[in-house]
Amino acid sequence: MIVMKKVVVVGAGAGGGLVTSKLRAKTSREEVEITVIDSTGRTDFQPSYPMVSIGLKRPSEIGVSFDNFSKTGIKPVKAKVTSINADERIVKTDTGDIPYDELILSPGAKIENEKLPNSESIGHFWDMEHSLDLRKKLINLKEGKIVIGVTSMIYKCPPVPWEMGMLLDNMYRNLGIRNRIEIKVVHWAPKPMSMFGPVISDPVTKWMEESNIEGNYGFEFSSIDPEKKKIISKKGDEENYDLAILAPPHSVPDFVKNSENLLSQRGWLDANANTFRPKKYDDIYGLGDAIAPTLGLGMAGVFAHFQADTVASLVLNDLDGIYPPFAYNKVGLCASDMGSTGWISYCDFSGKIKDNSVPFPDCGVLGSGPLFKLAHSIYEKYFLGAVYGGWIR
Amino acid sequence: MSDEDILDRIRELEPTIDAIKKLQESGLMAALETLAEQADLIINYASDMEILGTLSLLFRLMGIADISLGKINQEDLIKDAKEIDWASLFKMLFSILKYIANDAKNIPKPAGKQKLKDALGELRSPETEYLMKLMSGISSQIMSKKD
Repeated sequence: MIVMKKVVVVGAGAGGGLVTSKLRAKTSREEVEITVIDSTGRTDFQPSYPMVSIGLKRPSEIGVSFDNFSKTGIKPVKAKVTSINADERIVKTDTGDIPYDELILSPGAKIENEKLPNSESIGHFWDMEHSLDLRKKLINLKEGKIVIGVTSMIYKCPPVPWEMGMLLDNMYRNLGIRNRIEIKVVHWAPKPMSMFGPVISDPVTKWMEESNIEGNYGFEFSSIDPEKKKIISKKGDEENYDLAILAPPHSVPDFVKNSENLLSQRGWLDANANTFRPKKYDDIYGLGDAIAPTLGLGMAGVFAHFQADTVASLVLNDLDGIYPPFAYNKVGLCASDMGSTGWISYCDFSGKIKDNSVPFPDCGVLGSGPLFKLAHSIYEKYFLGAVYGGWIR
Repeated sequence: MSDEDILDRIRELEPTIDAIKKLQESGLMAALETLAEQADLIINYASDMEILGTLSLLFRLMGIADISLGKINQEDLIKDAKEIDWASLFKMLFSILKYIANDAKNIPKPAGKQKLKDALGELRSPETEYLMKLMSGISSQIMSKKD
């Protein structure tokens, strides 16, 4: 008699979504029961949130209800994970307990919206709801200064403050009011995208200058004064704004924070770069943004994508004992749509994962120009199609 | 939709169905099916620094080639090509080939395996760019004399 194995995936984003569809494609419904738990009940192509905030994309174009998983026998559970009982192999959620044989954790980072003041002149695009809210704020702004910044060293999609600067430049040029809008990126990096080295930083610096996007670099965020409309750095420097677009603090999800055995020394979800398991368990895997700081990576869907390829192969190997493990590809690709132009850059993070003191990864630029804008949209459709097998209408 | 409408739609699709049938018979459809089956890993396989570096160089080369070729009036070029004394040109080319064949043994082989990326890197050298610009300049001069 076949004993049905239970695979539980926490998170239906880039990592969780892709690993789920890969597992379903390689296993039968009779032999493996797959459950996906997600608090939003949706898979969004998160790199397109900036486009939602400037009105270029609609939410329905970049997000799919995870109820579609049920079409291939995957059980979607809309719930918030509260804790993991790893000894008894149970995921505890606010709607009930879910047992597992194999557990895959891809919960993403917790976006701490409550740590930003609720103000008409502050917004962000790090989740769907706030991207839609920011859209209204951007449309209402007819003149003044927009500051794009980050409140923590770690945040989702490291290049996005500069990408957003270019998108806003293009948007206000099209509206004919660019001369009345000042755009400034305020960031801890010493130069635009300098965390990726000069191959990436130099052309981006040039684009910022050409687009008249100012910068305040080496600015480590300390606090915000919504009354005086100022953000203040740790050194006490101030930057005033009419509209501040700020990445809220990102932190490890509470259920991971409260499970000592799942935490790495860096305080995030523990995972090894080869096995993707935390040190103490051989039936739990981690991937995506929640493990990125542990591995010394930035938070980006492309890392989750390639980690999903590897994690799916490792879980399949656990299930049948023969499936060949797929080595983790540490190259990251970034396809950016920046309004009037697009570009594709790539970096090999192997050296950085091995030794975090390496200043930046080995990077290159595939090309730039209007044609490269297509890459972002093509990948968006590819991603959603790959997760839901094309049933995305 | 009536039966007649459905038949009309099928007739409209006939050329497409025929093309698909030919693809199926040729074996190309089976190859496409394999690609589709492996599609989930294509991006992963293609995300290789050697492949991406080569693509990056190709895109840059295309840029240089585009600038050079863009200055050429193709109609005049074809007309001029017809006026070339091909017999003399081939005679000259064969003498160059003979010279290369005789001296090939004296040309040192590159150390190690020559990678496509390296070869393209050499193509992108300042000397090649100078040669392309020189050709572009000569072609511009020829065209301007035609006016």
